[in-house]
Amino acid sequence: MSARITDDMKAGVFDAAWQIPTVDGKAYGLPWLLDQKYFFYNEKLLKDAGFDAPPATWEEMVDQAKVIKEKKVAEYPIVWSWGQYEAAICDWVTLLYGNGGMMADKDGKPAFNSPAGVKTLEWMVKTIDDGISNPSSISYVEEDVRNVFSQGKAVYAVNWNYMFDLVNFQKDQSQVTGQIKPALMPGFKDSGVKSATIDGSMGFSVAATSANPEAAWKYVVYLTSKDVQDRYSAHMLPMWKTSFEGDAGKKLEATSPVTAIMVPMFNLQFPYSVVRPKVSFYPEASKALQLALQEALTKVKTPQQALDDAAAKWLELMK
Amino acid sequence: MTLKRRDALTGLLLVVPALVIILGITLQPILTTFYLSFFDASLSKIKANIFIGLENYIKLLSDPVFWITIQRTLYFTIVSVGLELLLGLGIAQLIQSKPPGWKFLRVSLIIPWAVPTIVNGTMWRWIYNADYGAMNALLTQLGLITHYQPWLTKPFVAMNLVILADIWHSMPFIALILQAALATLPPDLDEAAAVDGANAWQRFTKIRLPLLRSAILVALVIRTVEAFRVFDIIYVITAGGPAYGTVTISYLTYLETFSFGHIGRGAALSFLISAFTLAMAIVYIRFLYRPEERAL
Repeated sequence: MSARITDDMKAGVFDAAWQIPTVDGKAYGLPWLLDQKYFFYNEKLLKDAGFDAPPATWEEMVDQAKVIKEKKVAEYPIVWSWGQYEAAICDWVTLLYGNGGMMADKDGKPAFNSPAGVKTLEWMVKTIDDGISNPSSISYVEEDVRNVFSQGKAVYAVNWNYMFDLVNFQKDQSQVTGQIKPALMPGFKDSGVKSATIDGSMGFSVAATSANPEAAWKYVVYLTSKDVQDRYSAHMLPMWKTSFEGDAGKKLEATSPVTAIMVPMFNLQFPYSVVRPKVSFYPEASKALQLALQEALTKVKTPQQALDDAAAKWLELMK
Repeated sequence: MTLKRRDALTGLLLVVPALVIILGITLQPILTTFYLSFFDASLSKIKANIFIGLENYIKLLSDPVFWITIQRTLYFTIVSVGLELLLGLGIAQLIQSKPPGWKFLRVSLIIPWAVPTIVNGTMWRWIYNADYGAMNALLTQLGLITHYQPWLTKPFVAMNLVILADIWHSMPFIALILQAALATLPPDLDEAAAVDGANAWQRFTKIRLPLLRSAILVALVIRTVEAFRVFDIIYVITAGGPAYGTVTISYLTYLETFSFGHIGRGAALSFLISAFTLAMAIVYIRFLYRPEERAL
């Protein structure tokens, strides 16, 4: 695959987009439709609680949340997708890297049960205990987050690009249209990380055992072409730098009121996005980590025990 | 050719096309799956399948996760089918006593049963929702709780709520089978017993129940096999969570086969599930099947 990627393609696509299909320095496919999780907040509710600006750190969010609760602006200021799904790993990676942690070390061994990882999970459990994170987050996915946020029941929500259009502009989907803004994903002040978020972009590859590699490659090139990508841009952003620059950039922003706000936001946030480990046993490893997060959140195990058990499973799968 | 033989031959010829289609669709996958269960086969690794004999089965049967999952599945099956049987029997009796509106009751029973399991699961997921669910609303309005609860975030509660959703959906099946059986019972036995001084409870336990034996057997076997293999309702309401609290044996098979790509192990799991359900059916037949008493 790397042999077929022309220099034009390499230069034309966002550098950070290559982190999706690249393993050990070799590109195994083309990226396609970029996306990451954003930090959305309800500006009106935040003002009602007496704050003019969204939090820059998670610690600041917790401080704001306490006031929000006190003033009864929202019972649970933030809602997450921490259910037993991949969605939980997306939130986990966002918080873990925001705390200076990592999923795997340079040898590919699990590193999420480091002190930073345990601290992060303990923080998550504590926000539920303190009533800052909605306790139903333990069973929620992204659509549930969108529903709660759309009802004005949360002041902050972490979600993908698609949610912005639906909560801020679609009156038949949301009760809080016109009140929502995105902000840079916070980091943990204690760890000195400015921002970190999960990279949820997708990519295309052609299987080595494919019976029609030529046709498949042609199809991949078509799907990832600038024209096709621009047409999807209301809900997911293209990977071509030129789509964001000059006249093309202005046109992209002008595509809809959504892109006018989210394209600059994308540029601001993307340098901080992080990918999950690219290993062949990822689904099983992810499920083990999802179970660990669930066990800690439902208080079946301590965060340290849960993460250690998941790390042991990863090591077992690596063999 | 005798008339009897010609009839039999005609019958066979008429059935053969349907038989070919059914066997063609189900026999080959079953045999392939069985064959696959003896291999180390994976969807995510580019290597040929390696023959490992009974190793998949041995590994599964010695895995504590497998047995915990079976235990959980048995809990689901016993509670779900048990309550369905009790409720179904009660409602069948109710319909049989023909109160005003009994025809409407019998017809309206079909509605929960007719709802597809996926739709049923989605509906209950909305009902149980922690922030805007109907169950929270109802309990609050009745004064039974003061505050909306995140029901599905507690493993044991979530399991029982999934059972409730299954009971709502499947109880009508048992009720209708039992009611049909009750309707065929001759009324004179009951009347004779009443004349002899038997009270309602004695008439029920000594006359009706024994005569319902074969209908109960049919209902139990069908429902137990279905409940043991429950999947869609788990997939939709909890996806096996929280913390694997609702992972049943079918859901585990789904995870192993389609999520993790271990198709050899998944195939072995499928056949182990079949072995368990076959064993349960045999137990039922042992205890309940009396060929000489045929109320149905």
